[in-house]
Amino acid sequence: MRKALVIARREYTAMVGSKAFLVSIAIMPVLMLGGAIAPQLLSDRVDTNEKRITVLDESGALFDSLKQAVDARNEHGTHDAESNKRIAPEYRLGSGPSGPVTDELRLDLSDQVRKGELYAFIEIPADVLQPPADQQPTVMTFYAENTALSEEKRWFDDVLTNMVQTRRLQAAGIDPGVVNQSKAVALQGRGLFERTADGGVKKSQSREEVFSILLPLGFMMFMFMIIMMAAQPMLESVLEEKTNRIAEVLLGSATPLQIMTGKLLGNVAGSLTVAAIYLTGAYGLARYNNALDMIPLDILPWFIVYQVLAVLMFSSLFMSIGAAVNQLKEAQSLLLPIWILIVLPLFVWLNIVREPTGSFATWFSMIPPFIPMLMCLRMSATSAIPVWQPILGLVLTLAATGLCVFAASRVFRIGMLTQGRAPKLSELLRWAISG
Amino acid sequence: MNNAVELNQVTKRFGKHVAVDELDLVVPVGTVYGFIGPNGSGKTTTLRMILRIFHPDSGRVRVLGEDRMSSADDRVSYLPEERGLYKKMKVRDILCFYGQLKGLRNCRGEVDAWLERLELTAWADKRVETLSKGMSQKVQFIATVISQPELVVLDEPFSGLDPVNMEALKDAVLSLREKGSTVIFSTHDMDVAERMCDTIFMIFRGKKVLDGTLNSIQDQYGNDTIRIRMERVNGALERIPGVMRVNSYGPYKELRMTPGADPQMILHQLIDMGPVEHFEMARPSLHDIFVRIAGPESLEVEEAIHA
Repeated sequence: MRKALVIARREYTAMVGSKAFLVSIAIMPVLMLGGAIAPQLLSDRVDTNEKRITVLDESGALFDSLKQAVDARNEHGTHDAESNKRIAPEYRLGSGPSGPVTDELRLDLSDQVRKGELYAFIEIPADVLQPPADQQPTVMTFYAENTALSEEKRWFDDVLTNMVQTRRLQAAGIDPGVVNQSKAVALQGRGLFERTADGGVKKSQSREEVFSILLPLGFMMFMFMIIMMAAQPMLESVLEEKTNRIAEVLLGSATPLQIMTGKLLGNVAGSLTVAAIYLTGAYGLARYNNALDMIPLDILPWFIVYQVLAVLMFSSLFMSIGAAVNQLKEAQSLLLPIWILIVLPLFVWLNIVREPTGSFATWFSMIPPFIPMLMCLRMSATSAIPVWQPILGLVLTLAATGLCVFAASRVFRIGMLTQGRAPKLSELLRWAISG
Repeated sequence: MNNAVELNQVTKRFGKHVAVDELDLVVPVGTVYGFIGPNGSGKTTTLRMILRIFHPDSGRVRVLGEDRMSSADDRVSYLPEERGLYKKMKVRDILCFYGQLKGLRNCRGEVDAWLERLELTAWADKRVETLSKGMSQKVQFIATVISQPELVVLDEPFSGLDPVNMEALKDAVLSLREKGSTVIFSTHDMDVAERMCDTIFMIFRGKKVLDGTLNSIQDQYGNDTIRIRMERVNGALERIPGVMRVNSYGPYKELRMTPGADPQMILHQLIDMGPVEHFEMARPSLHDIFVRIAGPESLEVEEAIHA
């Protein structure tokens, strides 16, 4: 064990003491959150060129009002009030030829859009103000190159539907103001009441809906990040030892089991350091924002235990692959199946957060490679998980981790001394099974 | 225990390739034993079996009186060829690391003494990747001997060293023997092998072809070499009756006689061909013996194997 500790200490220092580690500590959250934040930061970077839009109003009843609305928007909604800087494009509305809308006309206008002379054209059917008898909505059409993400389509959708609704209500003799008032009601989501330690009652939190999704996601991404930061260096470290013949020197001093134990211990210690750094940061941030009660401290011990096991499981697999190949390049194809196991929870997280106690969530979070990430996801999504589930998950993860470490130690022992061609996945499995 | 290493009929195969074939070898305690042989002849495989990193397919490997199979042995230390160091670690840290792995408790004093001895003190806090080849070779050497092992196995310890560093390392190796360690090293430098080794061992195509002191090996190959110096030679030396082979090093040349040839007759012929500045009857050098065994016209392999 003393030798394993000597190796663990070196491994830990090599992992934590490198510049790359400090850089990745700083960069990882940016990478993880950047995807969510970047679009918001860039949201004012819009195209502010004027947009010309033709309206084919067969009903003849909406064009004038629509034009007024557009003019009002151009007047007040396209410039920043303080700097008078243009923040949104002005719309130039034109009326199409009167008479029925033919496919030829649609084609002609489409060509104009293609040439860039028009941005879009809108078709309003003649009977748009008649409430449909069959409850099927009357369809107005917004034609443009790409309507899915079009801000313009969204704006016209709001304005036109509102306009049609108001006219229909007025036609039926109903005051639209009354209807709007009647709509002013909401159902709010809140957390649960709890009994405090001193016997009092702790009121429930007015949890924001977004937060109840983001917190579990954050926990899961956090674990994903730690696995990534721990497992990859393990692969590289073993590869360095192999290609630089350090392995032979090590094997002259310690048994393969001691070497592997030492390296994994150092790696887990490194991953705990990462977790400690981020958790301290998150704690400080929550405290600064007076949001300490939002952090579910009770699942933190579970998180730590699962994180240690997840790092052991994946690092040992990465390590055995590092031992089996001679170059990083050769490792890629062998790593693919393992990456899939690590990444898969990221594809199903939303389904699981929606129904954390549903049968899909329950069973999926009992498949060993996914247990650490998904169990933490579920536990931070709801407190209604029966306690036997995380315990069973723990037992299963322990068993899987033990199996991984055992198989990895076999591959490690054989791989460390094998030079030349990298083995295929099937050969790796044979090494792992037959030793 | 009189022998540090005993190999008995050891065979190692990789697939169908026989890397080491029924090898017998005895390395007495306290000797410096040189391994020579062309690339791919089984040297490193043999060294690795002595280190018990590889296990033989058949035969027995006994190291420091023990038959055990594990390579982890604090009494044995190994220097792999050219590499074996973590590039990002500082020199003192990596030496302490290897020392502690071998069970050394207070490594600091020992490490600093060695660094001073090999003139590396100024580099103690530098990273390994900043060292020159010669320096990292010395660091690696210290890493190997820091724990004062009983058996030191060095794979090409002198490759790529300048004469000054070479002398320093050679002295260090010889001082290991004085302290009672057994040293086995492999080398491609025949000069080093001749000057440093108590016993020389040559392996070729997995089989032992030479094993003994330099004297006994040279005796085995006899006095069949003539060294001459001639600036001008009119005619082909190979045509002289009794000359089997000519190795030319510019004005210096080595002639190998056919068995039973008369050196005096050859001298007469040489004088007829030009002024002879130097003429010496000599035993073949280790280099020459190596080439005779492993060279392209390796006529004497069978002979050597069955010797």
